[in-house]
Amino acid sequence: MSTPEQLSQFLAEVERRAYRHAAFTVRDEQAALDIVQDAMFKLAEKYVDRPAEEYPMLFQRILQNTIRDYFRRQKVRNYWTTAISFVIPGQNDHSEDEDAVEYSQPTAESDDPANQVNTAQRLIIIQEALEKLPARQREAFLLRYWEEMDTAETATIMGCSEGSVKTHCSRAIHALSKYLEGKEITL
Amino acid sequence: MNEETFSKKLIQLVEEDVNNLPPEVVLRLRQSRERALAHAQQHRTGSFGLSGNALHRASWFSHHRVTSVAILIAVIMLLTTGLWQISFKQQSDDISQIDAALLTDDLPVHAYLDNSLVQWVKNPSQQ
Repeated sequence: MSTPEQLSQFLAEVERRAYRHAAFTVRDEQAALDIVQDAMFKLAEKYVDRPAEEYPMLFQRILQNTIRDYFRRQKVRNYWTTAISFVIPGQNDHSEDEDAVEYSQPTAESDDPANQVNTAQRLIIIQEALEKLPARQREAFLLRYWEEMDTAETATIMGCSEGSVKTHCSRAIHALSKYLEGKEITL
Repeated sequence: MNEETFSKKLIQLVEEDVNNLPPEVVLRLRQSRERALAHAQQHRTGSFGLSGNALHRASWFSHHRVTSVAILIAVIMLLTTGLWQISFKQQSDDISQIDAALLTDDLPVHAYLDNSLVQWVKNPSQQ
C-alpha cells in the first residue's frame, strides 16, 4: 500500500505531462485542466490503496478514459446543437472523426520559415503536429515515448494488441516527421 | 535519423515546453492535486473508521448497485406477500369461526323435536 507522500509525488510528477497530453487531444486548455483534475480525483478515490508502482498505468488508463468521456459528452452536446441549428449549415463542420485528419502541405503563410522560426515557434509547430495526429497514433506515441511505457503496457492502456501499438507509433513518427519537414523544422 | 532518435528529440522539446507552462495553469494543476490528495486522505480516514466486514459490505453494495436494488425490491415483495398471506389466513379463519358459530348457534333443544321445523328444513318452499 502506498503512502500519501508517494501519491503526492506521483501526481506532482505527472500532472504537467497529463495536462499537455489532454490539451493535445481535446485542443481546449480549460477542458484539459478539468480532465486532469477528474483523473487525479478518480485515482485518489478508487486506487489510493494500490501500490505506488501501479500508479502510472492506472493513471494513464484513467486519463484516457476521462478524455473519451469528454468526447462522448461533446458528441451528445454537438448532436443537440446540430439538431437545433440544423437550418444553419456549415457551423459544426469540424468533425470529431480525428482519424480523418491528414497532414496538409505547408501553407503559403509559412513562406521561408527557416529564417523566421525561433524556439517558441518551433514548439508551437511541434504542438500543432501532435494535435493533428490521429487520436490513436498520438495516444500510442505519447504513451510510448513520453510516458516511457513499453509496448505491452501501452497496449493494455489502449486496449489493443502490441502489434497495433507498434503500427500506430510508426505511423505517428512518419506523419510527424513529414509535417515537420514540410515546415522546414529540423530536430 | 532513425525513429527512436527522432522521437526522443521531439519529446525532449515537448518536455521543455511542459516545464514552461503558464503560471495560471501550474497553479490550477497544483490546486487540483491538493484537492485530490485531500480527497484521498479523507477516503483513507473513512476506510480506517470502518471495520473490515462493514467496509467489505459497503464496497460490495457500492459496486453492485443494480443487484442491491434488485435484492431490496425482492425483499419488499416477499414481505408484502407474507403479510398478505397472513392477513388472508386470519380473515379465512375468522369467517370459518363465524360460520361454525352460526351453525352451532344455541338452537333450543325442542326445535330438534319440532316436526314442522324438520319439514321446513327439508322443503322450505312449502311454508
